[in-house]
Formats: sequence, C-alpha cells, structure tokens
Amino acid sequence: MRASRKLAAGLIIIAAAIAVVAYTGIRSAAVYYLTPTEFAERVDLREGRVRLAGTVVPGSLRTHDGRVVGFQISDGMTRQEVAYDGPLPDLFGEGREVLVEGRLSGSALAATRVMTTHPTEYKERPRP
Amino acid sequence: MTELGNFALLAAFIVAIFGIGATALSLRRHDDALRAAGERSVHCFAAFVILAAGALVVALLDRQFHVRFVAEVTSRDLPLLYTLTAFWGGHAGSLLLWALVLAGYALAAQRAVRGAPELAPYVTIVVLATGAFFSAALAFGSNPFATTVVPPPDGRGLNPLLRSPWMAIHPPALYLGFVGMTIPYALAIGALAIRAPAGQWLAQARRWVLIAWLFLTAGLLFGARWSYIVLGWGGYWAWDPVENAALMPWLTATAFLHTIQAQERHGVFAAWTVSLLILSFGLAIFGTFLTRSGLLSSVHAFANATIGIYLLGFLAVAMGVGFALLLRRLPDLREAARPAARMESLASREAALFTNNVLLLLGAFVVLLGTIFPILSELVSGDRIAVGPPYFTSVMAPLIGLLLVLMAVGPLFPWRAGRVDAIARSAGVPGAVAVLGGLACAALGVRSAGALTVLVLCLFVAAAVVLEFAVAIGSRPGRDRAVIPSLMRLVGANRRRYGGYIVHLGFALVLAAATVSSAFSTVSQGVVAAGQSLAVGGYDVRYDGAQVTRAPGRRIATAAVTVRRNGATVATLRPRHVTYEARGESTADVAVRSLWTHDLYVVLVGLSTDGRAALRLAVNPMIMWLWIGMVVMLLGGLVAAVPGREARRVTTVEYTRHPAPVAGGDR
Repeated sequence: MRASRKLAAGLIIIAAAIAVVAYTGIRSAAVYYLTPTEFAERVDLREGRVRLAGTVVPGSLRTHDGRVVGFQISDGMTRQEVAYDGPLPDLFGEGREVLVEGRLSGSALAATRVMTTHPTEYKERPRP
Repeated sequence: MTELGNFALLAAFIVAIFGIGATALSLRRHDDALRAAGERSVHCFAAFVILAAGALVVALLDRQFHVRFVAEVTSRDLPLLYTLTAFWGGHAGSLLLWALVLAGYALAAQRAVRGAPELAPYVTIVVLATGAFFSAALAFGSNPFATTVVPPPDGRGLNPLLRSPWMAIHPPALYLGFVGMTIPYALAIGALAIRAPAGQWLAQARRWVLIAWLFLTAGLLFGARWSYIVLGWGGYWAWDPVENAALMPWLTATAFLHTIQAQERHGVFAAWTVSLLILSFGLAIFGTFLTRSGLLSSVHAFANATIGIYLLGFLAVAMGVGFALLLRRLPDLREAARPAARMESLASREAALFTNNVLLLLGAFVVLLGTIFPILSELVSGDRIAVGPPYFTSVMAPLIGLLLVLMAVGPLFPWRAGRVDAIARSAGVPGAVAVLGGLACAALGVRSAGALTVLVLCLFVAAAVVLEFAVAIGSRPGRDRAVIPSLMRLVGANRRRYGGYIVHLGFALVLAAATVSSAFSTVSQGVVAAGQSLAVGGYDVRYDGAQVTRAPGRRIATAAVTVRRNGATVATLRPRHVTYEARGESTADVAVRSLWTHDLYVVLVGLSTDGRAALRLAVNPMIMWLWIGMVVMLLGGLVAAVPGREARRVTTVEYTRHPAPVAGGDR
C-alpha cells in the first residue's frame, strides 16, 4: 500500500472520530433559540435548556442589595420572567436586547448566562 | 463633506468597473494601452477610497450630526482619539475601513506583480472586483454618508465598550488580516488562469499570507485582551461568532503556511495548497459577512443590514470561480509536478505536514459548523438551535491535542522518508522532559486528566523546540562563542524554520496558560459595606468606600479597595462603574493587579443607594503568560516574514506561461 493511501486511511479515521465527537458535542451543547412567544407556545421544549432573545422590560428589574437578581424579557407580545444571580454583562439595562440561557424553574427561567447584543444604529427619537 | 464622500464612493465604484472592463478587454485584444488604463484605475480607485475615508474623518471631527453615521457613533464630549476610532465604531464605517485597507493592499500588490506582466492583469481584475463590490455596498447599501433631515443636537456617542485603546487597534488589525487574504487569492486566480507552474507564484503568495496571518494573530490578541479588560467577565475567549470569524481564516492560513514548505521543497500538495488560498479568502469574506450581519446571535451583533445577502452572493461567486478554475487546472498542476513528487513514507515531514493540515481544516470546519448551527438547524428543522462553548471545547480539545503532538514530533521527521526508530530516539529527550514535567504538575495539584494532558503536551512541544535550537547551535562552527549571538546567527540563517519554531513555542505557552487559568481560577462575589472584606485565592480584599464623580456625559462610580495578602497591604485598586447617560448604558472598568504568576481581577458590579458595593473578584493564574505567548507567536511570525536569504532567492523567480515539461529528476 502506498504511503499516501495509508495516510489517507489514518486521516479518515481521525476525521470520523472528530465527527463522532462533534455529533455528541452538538447533542449535549444544543439549546433551542427562541422568542418568549415561541417558548410559551412550544410546550415540548419546556423541559430542556433554551436560549431566549428579548428586550428587558422597563421597570421589571428586581434587585437585592444593589444587585440585579431577576427581570422580565419581552418580544413585544409575551413576557417571560427570568431569575438570574450572576455577573451581568456590560450594557445590560432596561429596554436593552438580551439573550438569556437557562432552564425553566417554576414560572421563571433560571438563567445561567445572560448576554447583551450591541446594536449600533442610530434611531431617531420621536420629536416632542 | 457628504457630497464629497458620496461622490468619492460612487467614483471609486465606477472606476473599478471601468478598470475591470479595460483589463478584461486588454487580455482579449492584447492591447497594452487598455492594460495600462486598467492599472491606472487601481490607483484611481485607491485615491477615491482614500478621499471618501478623508471625508468621513472630517465629518467625524467636525461632529456633523446631520450625517447619520456620525450621530450614531460620536457625541460632543467624545475625546479626540475615540472620535477618530469611531470610524470603525459602526458598520458603515467598518465597511469603509475594509475598502480603505483593500486600497492599500491593491497598491502594494500592483507593485509586487510589476515583474509579471502575464499575471498582473488578473490581479488587477480580482482586486478591482472586490473593490467594486465593497464600494457598491458602501455607495448603495450601508452608506456612511447618509444624512437625516433634522440633525440631532448631539450624537449618541460611541458604544462605551468600544472606548478602549484595544478596540481602537483591534478592528484595523483584524481587517488588515481579512483583507490581506485578497492578494493571495488574486495571485491564485491569475496563476491558475495563465497556467503558471505551482512553485513560482506560491512563494510570493506565501509572503502575503504571512502578512495577513500576522495581522490576524495581532487582531486575535487585541480582541482577547479587550474582552478580558473591558467586558469584565474574566475571560478572553467565548467562542462568539465574531471571534470564530477571525479564527477560521487564521486556521486555514496557518495550514497554508505549513504545506507551502512541502510544496516549495518537493512539489507535493500543489492543488491542496492552492485550494487553501481560495478557502482562506472565502473565510475572510465570510468573517466580514458574519460581523456585518445580524444573522447570528452574538454579543457583537451589529445592525441588521441587508448587506449580508450581497456579501453571501459575492462569496459564492468568489468561491465558485476559484474552485472551478482550480478543477480545470488540476491536470496541469499534476503534470507540472515533478514525477517524484509524491509522498514516499508515512514517517516523512510531508506526511506530518499533511496531517497537520487535515487537523487544522477539521478545526476550521467544526468551528464553522458550530458558528452557523443556528442557521443550519433553522433551515433543516425550522427550529433555531444554538451550540454553546461546551461544544467547541469538547471538539477542539482532541484536535488541539493531536496538533500539539505533531508540533513536537513533526520537526523531527526528515523530508521524504525517515526511520521510525530514529524519530522515536530523537523524541526521547523532550518526551522524558514532558513526562517529568507532568509528574511535577500532578504533584503540584493538577488533578484534571484533560488539563494534565494539555500541559504535558505543551511541555513536550517546548522541550522539542528548545532542544532543536540547542542542537543546532551546538552543531554550528564556532560553538564556543556566546549563546545569544550564535542563537541570533542561527535564526538569521534560516528565518522561516526558526521563526516557525518560535511560533510553536508561543502557541504552547498560550495553551498552557489558557489551561491553567481556566482550571485554577477562583471567583468570589458579594455585596459589602465600607470596611467589610471579601476573600479570594489567598487575598483579603477590603472595600473602603466609593465616590461618584461626573464627567461630560458620564457618571462614574469609583470604588477603593485595599488588597492584603498574609496580613500585609499589597495594593489599592480602583474598579469603576461608568454610566453613559446619553446612551443609558453602563460598563464596568475592571481593575487588575497583574503578576507573573496570577492576576487579581476586581469588578465593581454595582453600587446600591446606601453606598454598599457589589464586587466580583477573581484570581486567574498564569494569564500573563497567555499574552506573552501570543506576543511570542507574533515575534516568531515576524522573524519568518522578514525576507532572509532564502526569501530573496525565491522572489527573484520569473513568471512564465506554459512551462516546459520538467524532466524527471530530483533536486
């Protein structure tokens, strides 16, 4: 057998092994990425980890000792309560678009990760 | 300024289209005047893009808030430096930066191919086509000079996260890397079109790829540093789509820089090496697409712009043309290769390099898969499914492990064919060092098998590199002279080889530091009143109170903390929490005490109305060595990039069409 054939065989085995690792990695790390409305409708997804995108509802921040411990996010139609007690990303605030990742616990999503998105476009404010 | 800017963008687009037409026609008619016109349009294109960029700079400095982009990214209170870097603080401006960098590369590339009259027109066409695309995107899509009827009294100000010196230099470095991939791609298209034999132009392409690689590496370093210092979550890499966008072309460019050695020496892997150039350009465009469209969930997500679709179209054309040409020339490339140009043995440098390439490409592929998984799953099942960092780490870990093994033993493999027992013998010493080091790490308390494996492999690489240098110095004449001068002479004699080894050393350092810092970082957080302390990793951190000051547009809370260790005060740190009133956003200014062994990282998360502070503390070991390792990688790349004796030899080759068949024989 030529050297290049042997090498090809070896590399195919490596690639196949990596494919298996990637497959199991995706299986274990996959989270559904939804809006609060979709999350409310998809009863089948209430058990697992999800990532929800929405805007932090103004006035919904719950704080404890100067630290945010919970808030609501909304996609304009549905609100979802979020419980979170970890480091908040920079630029987190009311009215800000965020991604929260976690699992449903009671009626609130117990988030393990909160991420902000950073829109940079200029929006004209309504004139008085 | 907006009229001038719009005019310049439109003119750049028109002149690029004209240049493409003239050059294409000159190829058909063999008309030198048309060809010269095409070349001059590259100069005109560059001039107009520079003019547009100048107009934007003036508009920014002049705070012309009737320009949307200016109002979006600047405000009256923005300092001069950030007013200038606001240029790339929004997506229209960053596209203009892309075009500006392209203009610079286009001028440089045109000088570089002056000696190759057959190749030059194709380079002109590819560069101008890319330029036409980006100037059209700017003029008709994401126009930085778009105006509003009623200018706001003040701008929104630059995104606070971008007000960092690291963010001032990160995007330019990244773009110099991304756009730099255009020139090797252009050379590839031209060389394939004129059937230039693989060896000659690839040497030149290598230098462009190396320059782009250096900038990408620097961009990754600056981005990681920014993430660590500014984002305040204590990490430097999150497998964010935007980070992945820069990593993918970096991986393929690295792959290219490895196989090109086998290509140049023994003429193997010609088609493979060329395809890496095409792929790197594709991934660079894809990276731009990824950072410029809001398609993916990302902490960097910029505005939703339709430009994404056009970029995807451009990408499809560029890849289609590139790979179609490559397929058509495949028989030529095979024929032009020396008959002996085939891999002879598994125990050869060629086999090691090729394995390295497959690993790097697999890495690029799994990163791509994870990055676009939400889109793929939506297309397939209708549900958007994201994969988080656990996916990336679980898949990349084995790949990186294998790469480290190759990095250590690969250089021991001789070209063509080697003997396994000889290779095993020369791997013995570094192997023993690695095992002893591993035992030492285990004794010091490293318990995780994964972390231990990575550390042993990093030591293996480092020991192999050091041994390589030591043996080479020892075997050179004049061995009794001082170590440093002979080291310099050694590296100078074969910059590419030893530059590469330095990069390997840096990479091992980066991985070791990343492993240790993630395995051993300790975190502590809490809410404390003045006088109260928090403990973290042997430190006692006492909160002494906070002060709230005002600066134009900002409210700044500064906490004072006294850091004590073993009862002695070692530092006072001042973490800050800045609220930007115009944008209603706040950021934490992290205070870091950096030592050779570890960092103490203090974040002021918030300040309650009664003066109590929410603090987050972390002790991250070995982080300093991560930055040092990246700088070492950059230095190694620089060593390899500076033209040495070899490089001068290979750049003097001439370009010829239809090479005479090379007689079988082996040099």
